[in-house]
Formats: sequence, C-alpha cells, structure tokens
Amino acid sequence: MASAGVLFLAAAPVWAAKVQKANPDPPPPDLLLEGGRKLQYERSFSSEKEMEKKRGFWTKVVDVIIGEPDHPHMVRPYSVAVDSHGRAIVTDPGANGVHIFDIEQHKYKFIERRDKDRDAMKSPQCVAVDAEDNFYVTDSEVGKIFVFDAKGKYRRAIGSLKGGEGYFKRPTGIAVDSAAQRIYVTDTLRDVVFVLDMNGSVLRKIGKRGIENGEFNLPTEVLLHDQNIFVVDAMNFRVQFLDSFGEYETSVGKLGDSSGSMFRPKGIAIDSEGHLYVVDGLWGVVQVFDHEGRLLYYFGGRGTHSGEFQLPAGLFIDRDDRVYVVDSFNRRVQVFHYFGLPKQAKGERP
Amino acid sequence: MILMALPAVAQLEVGDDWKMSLSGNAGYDYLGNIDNGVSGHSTGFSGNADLHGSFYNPNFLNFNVQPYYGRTQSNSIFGALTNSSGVNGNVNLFNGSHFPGSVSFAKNINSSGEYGMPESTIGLAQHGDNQGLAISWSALLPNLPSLTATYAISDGSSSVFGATEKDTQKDRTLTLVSAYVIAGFRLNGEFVHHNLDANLSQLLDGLPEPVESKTSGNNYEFSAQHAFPMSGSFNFAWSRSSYDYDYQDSYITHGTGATDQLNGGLNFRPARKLSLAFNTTYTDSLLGSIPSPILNEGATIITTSLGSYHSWLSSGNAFYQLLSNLTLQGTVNHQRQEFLGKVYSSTQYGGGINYNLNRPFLGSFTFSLATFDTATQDGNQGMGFIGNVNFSRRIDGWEVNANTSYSQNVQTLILVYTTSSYGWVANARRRLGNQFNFSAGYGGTHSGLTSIAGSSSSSERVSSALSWRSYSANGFYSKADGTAAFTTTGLVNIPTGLPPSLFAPGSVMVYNSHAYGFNLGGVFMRRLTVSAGYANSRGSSVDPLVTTITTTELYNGILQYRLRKIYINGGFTHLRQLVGAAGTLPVSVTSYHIGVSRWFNFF
Repeated sequence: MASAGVLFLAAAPVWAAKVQKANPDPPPPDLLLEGGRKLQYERSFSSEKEMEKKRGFWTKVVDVIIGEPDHPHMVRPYSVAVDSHGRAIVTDPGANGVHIFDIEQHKYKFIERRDKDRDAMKSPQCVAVDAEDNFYVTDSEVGKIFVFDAKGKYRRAIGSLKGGEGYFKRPTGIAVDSAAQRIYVTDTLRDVVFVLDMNGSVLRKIGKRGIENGEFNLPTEVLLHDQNIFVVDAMNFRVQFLDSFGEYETSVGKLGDSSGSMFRPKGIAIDSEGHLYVVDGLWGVVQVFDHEGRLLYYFGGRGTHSGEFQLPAGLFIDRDDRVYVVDSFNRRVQVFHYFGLPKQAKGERP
Repeated sequence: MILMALPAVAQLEVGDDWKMSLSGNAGYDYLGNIDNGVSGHSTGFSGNADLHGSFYNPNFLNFNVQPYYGRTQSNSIFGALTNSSGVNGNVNLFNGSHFPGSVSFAKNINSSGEYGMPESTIGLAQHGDNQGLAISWSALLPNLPSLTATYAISDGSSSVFGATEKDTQKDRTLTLVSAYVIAGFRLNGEFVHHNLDANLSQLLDGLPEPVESKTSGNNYEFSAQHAFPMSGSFNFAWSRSSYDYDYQDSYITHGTGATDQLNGGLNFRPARKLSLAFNTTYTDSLLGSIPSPILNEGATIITTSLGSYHSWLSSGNAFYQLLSNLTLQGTVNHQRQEFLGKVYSSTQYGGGINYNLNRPFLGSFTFSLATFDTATQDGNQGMGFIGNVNFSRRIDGWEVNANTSYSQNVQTLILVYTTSSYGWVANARRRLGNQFNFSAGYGGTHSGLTSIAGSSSSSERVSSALSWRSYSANGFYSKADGTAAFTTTGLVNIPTGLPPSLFAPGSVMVYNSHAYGFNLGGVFMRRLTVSAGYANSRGSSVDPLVTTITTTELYNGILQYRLRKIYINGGFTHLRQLVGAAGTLPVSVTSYHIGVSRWFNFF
C-alpha cells in the first residue's frame, strides 16, 4: 500500500497537497505599549467544561462508564458583562439564553425563558449589571428588557404596554446607572436612546434619526462612564460622546478601512485610564482611542487562533482592567489583561 | 435547552498519511417475539459504527464506512419488527483532479421495509436482504470532451409478511455521459444500458405462478445547443430507447420495442417586447416509449400491439409583452399521427392573455385560465379548458391556503384520446397559544380518459396535527383507487392518458385502498422520548379473475431515555397482516425489545 501511495504521490498535483499537521495554539505574545504599558492575553472560555473543578477519581470512573456529561457551549454569543463577583454574563441569541461563567468558583449556569408562556425570551442581545449585581438583558426580537437578580432568578420584564405597542422596536445596547436609578437603552430601529427609571417608565429620549451630531443612524450600544454617555452610532460609523443630559460633546471614528476608521463598530468599553476600546466586527480588531479620538493602538485580527477574532461583538472591561471580548463566530470569549501606568507606579505586578 | 455540543475533534493518525475517526454505539439487548402464537426470546450484542478518514489529503482519498449489527429498525415505520445487520460505505478518489472517481457499496440483511401501494400512506410490511456496488469514474480533461462512466450492480430479495413467496431482483446499469463545447455548440451525449431480472411473487393477483422476467434496455441520447442572434438559441436532440423482455408465468412472452425521437427548436426575440419560439418533434413508435417508465421501477408490463405509430408535431408560439403585467400569447400546433391503421391530423389554435395582478384578487385569490380549440379532418373536437385557482388568506388567526385545478378535454399522447382531471388541496393552520399549534389538510385528485369508462383513478387524504411544546399528536385518513402494475418495490400507477386496450389482460390490475392512523409522541423531562402509533390499511386488488384482499394493522411504540452517553431503548411492534383471498388467515407478528447502549468516540 505504501509503495502504491508513493507512486501516486510522486505526481501529486496541487489539488492534493498534503495537509499539514496543526500545531498547538500558542498564546499571542504580549503587546508592549508606550510607557511600559502592556496588553497580555489571559485566557478564553466557551463552555461549562472550562468552569469545572478537577474531577476526582470516582467522578472519572463514572465518566468512563456512562460518559462525560453534556457541557453546554456557546452558540452565537453577542454581549458580555462582569458583575462584582467576577462572574461573566454572556448573552447568546443562538442558544436563546444567557450563560453565567463563574471562573473563580468554578460554576456555570444557563438561563433561558423561551418556553415560558408569558414573557418568553427569544433573542437576548446585550447585558448590563447594576450595583446589586442584578442584570438586565435586552431582547431584540420580543422588544423587552428582562431583569434577573444576582442568582439568575427572573424578576420582571420591561418594555411592553398592555394592549398596545411596546416601548421598543428593537432594544439592543443597555447601560444601568445605579446611583441615578436610570436605565439607558438604544432602540436601533427608532434611532434613539431611551432613558428609563428602574420601573421601566420612559423619562426621556435622546437623539433622532440623522447624520448630524447628536443624531443617530441605527444606534446599537450604549455605555456610561464618568457622567458621560457613549453611543455606538453604527451606520454613521462612529461613537458619539454625550454629556449626562444627552447633549453632543464629540465623536470618534469615520467610515473607512484604515486604522482608526470603523466599518462595523460593535461593543465599546473604557479602561481605568479612560481609553475607549471599540470592536470592529468586520475587521476583527479592537481599536483603542484616547479621549481626543486619537488611535493609540489596536489588537486582534481575523482568525481562529488565540488573540484573533471572527465577527467579534461585545466588549467589557472590569475593574481590574481585564478586557473581555466576545469572539462571536469562534463561539468563545477571550480575556486580555491591560496593565497601565498606575499599577506599575505602585510596584504591582506589571 | 438545546445547546450545541462541539463534536469531538480527536483523530487517529496512522503514520504521516492516514487520518481516521471512529465513533459508534455498543449495546446489549433483550429481544422477544411472538409469531402466530409461538414465542421466542434472545439476548445479544448490538452496535453500529461510523469510520471515516482520509489518506494523504481528503481530496486524494477519503472514505466512510458504517457497519451495524443487531439493529432493531426503530427508524422504519414498522418499528422493531426485524433485527437487521449490514454495512454501508463509500470511497472517493482524486476529488478536484481531472480523473475523480468513487466506489460505494451496501449490504443489508433482514431489514424491514414497505411494499408500496399507490397513494396509500401505509403499504404492506416486508423484510428482506439486499446488496449493491457502484463504481464511477470521470475524465475531465481541459479542452476535451468530458466522460463519466458509472457501473452499478445490485440484487435483493424480499418477502411480504403473510405471503409465502419471495420477490427477487438483480439489477445492472451502465451509464456513460459526455459533454463538450466546441465552436459555441454545447454537445451532450448519454448512453444507458439497463438489465433487470426479477421474480415477482404476484402476491396480489392470487395466481399460484410467480412471474419471472428478464428485461434489458438501451437508451441513447444526443443533444446540441447553440446561441442564435436576437437573444435566441436553437437546439437539436435525438434519442433512441429500446427494450427486450422475456416474461413467464403460465405462458412465455417475448417482447421487443424501440422508439426514436427527433426534436428541433428555435427561439429568439426579434423585438424588445416580442419573442417567438418554434419546435418540431418526430416520434416513430408509441409502444417503445410506454414501458420505459415502468421498467425503471423494476417491473415488466406486457403491451398489446395497436399497429404502427408515427407522430409529427410542429408548433409555433408568439409572446408579446403589451404592458409590464399584461402578456398576449398565440399558439399554433399541427400534429399528424398514424395510429390504429389510420392517419389523424389536427391543427390546434390557442390564444391567451396573461395578466399578473399586483395584488391578489379580493385580497386572497390568484388564478390562471386558458382555453383552446382543436380541429381535425373529421371536424371540430371541441373546446378544451384549463383552470387553476389559488387562495391564501389569514382569517381570524387561521392561515388558510387552498388550490384547485380543473382540466377538461386535454389531449393525451395519443391524439384521439383526451383526458379530464380535477384536484384540490386545502390547508389551515392556527397558533392556539404559545408553542401550541394546530394544522389540518384535505386534498384529492381525480383523473381519467374522457371517453373510456374504468380508466379513472382517484385519491383523497385528510390529515391533522396538534403540537404543544415538545408533544405532538397527528392523524390521517386516505383512500385511493385506480390501475397499477407490479414491481418489486410495490404497485406503481399506470401512466395516465393511455388506453387500457394497450395493456395485456392480467398485466394491469385494479386496486382500491383506504388507510387511517394516528401517532402520539413527546419528549419528557428533556431526556425521555416516547411515541406510540396505530395504523390500519385495507385494500383489494382485482385481477380479471381473482380478488385479493390486503389488511395491515400496526401498533407501534418506542421509548428512549438518555443519560449522558448511555441510551436505554425500548420498542414494541405488533403487526397483523393478511394477503390473499377472502378467508385467508392473517399472519400475526409481535416483537419487542429493550436494551442499553453507550455512545463512544473511539478516536
């Protein structure tokens, strides 16, 4: 057989080029930045299996006999938020539910409501967490916001008027201001940002459809930071900075395919140094801007290896400057750690 | 919770070049059966596997082999009636090269199946063995004619429960296909040689002698197509079909036949809104063309010579786009046939207006209507009519769709015969609540030769389904009658529009059947799948001399519980089937099984 194989291979044309063995996926090198800052790849997670504790002897015996348990896996994750206990809450429209990954406690939970007769959740889109670790999930299909407590128990739904049209046509991005008791929601099809109280009553709307400053063309994400409101104005290819009253201050981004421009802006987040991180879904990168809108650096690139993205979407930076990027088409969340100047000055781990 | 579990990506590598993956189930089962009051029990291993892989590169060689052993037929409508084993596989070589090829093979032992009854939802239960091998190779060299050669052989035997005889079949087919483009001509050629040796038990005509038939057929086809000025094209096609059979029951019959057909066509667009099309077809034998579709089903049908037959048909069509949604159409057909020792000729004039409504009529209807008039040398044949109406509307939460069609005095293959038919189908669906749905449908057809009694066939079917979350219930009732011919896989309808006098007595039977049944099923606690069903089918077939009755009564239930990779399977089937003259005792088969299996991903 081997000799016959050699005979064929001697004239092997291009169409039958030998498949090369895949090498183990090494982590990407640290990204060294100006002033000793750096961005380090930390890990990725995608399923319950990665949350498991080390399995004991008898557990392994049971696994051998009846097989390992099914580990729920992300299908089409979109958005991520991290609560005060470090639990990553990931919305997954493909699975019609929300994953909760507790990396420290090695726990996993999946929340779904698609079979409920009342207030069924069908396409969870974005997620935000309040000061008490309640989390708020927008559903772009049913036009509601679902509120769950810190244990993942369903509390209420916001956004439907009995006997009439709901507040929202397509709620997407969401942010919660616990101090002011306000919820901010982008309604992509209405081209506005709704400001709600915690009961869901609409207090005011920000913006209207258009291309001028303060106007939106399909807003998809909203972020609150230091009394400012940041809105991803997706089809105007920019991120608008608004003050706490919703008045326009400045913006970042323009349409293009060069560094600093945006083609499909998705998730946004801000680190401890006030840098704005913007995911570009098409190019598969995260671009980092300063407050003046200057591009500082970017990381990522299209691919399936560690540190690369395919259709990245949601973004979250926790209080330790861990950057969570939802790598949607690769069905995982990748975690990076940004080490900025203040921590180095304190002599902490670089 | 349906979350996608990533498939295991482990792969075994043998040396540098072989890559293979193997997964499958291994289990142990208890089987029991009661055949006409005699019980039997057994235990044994069962399993199935899926081995696939490649050598050097998946394009160079890839393969897939799927053996199974001791598998109860839980995936067939007859449930756990038989316990079968076998293997299926295929190998693909040199994909993407100039000389790609493939080999496929299959062997199935004691698998259950269905002996089909026309238009009937449930046929007769049968079991049998079959095996097959097919080899295909292509030469796809640039700038040269392509050639694909396929040779397939298969044989099998089957036996209907309640009938003592076996049907056997041996099939061999060689196919050569070639295509070439030269000087703007797209040329295609095909040759098919088909051999079929069948032994039919004739279980439905009550006659003691099985039919033994040996048939062979050749089919040659050649076509050429070329572009024509004014956005047009012209084409030419020639085909020749021939067959040869030996048919033996009480008598030995030998038959041969052949058909040649020539066809030419031209279409072009002389003006922006005007398009013209011309077509002419010559056929030299009717008898050569009739048995082919039945032969391909695995049967032989004896035809009676009705004399020589020649047909020449010429047609011209003109379309004029008067408005964006208004089209005028004119048609002239002239046909000349020599048939039953007489020359018939006709000229058919037709006209029509097609108007596409931007919105459905009355918000719900769309329709098309056409009339035509035919005249022969014997006088006017009368007006023909074709109508079709569709209805689609949402009425108070119900989604209602319906269609009805009617045709009268439509010419058949033979000029002197016309056929009339009508059919209807209606479906209604409603969402009763969250994940609570109901649907129902009713449809039927009726067709036959206009002037010949006893040539008609009809069928009707009504069904309904109710689903709530992961639970469902459905039921049906159907009935059918008409004329059919034997094949090894069941009865097949006789092609419509042919005069009954064309077929030899005894080779065609009249049948009628009606069936009803229901099924209940659901997934409980996300891991326990349970379903149960009942079906009843009764029918009779009338040979010119004997009436045979068929009765099939089927109870079926399956259960599966999954715990991680462990499956607990159970099944129950009770079949009571009768085939024969009035007074024949039915056969009764009860089969049940329970077992446990585990899924493995070996490498």
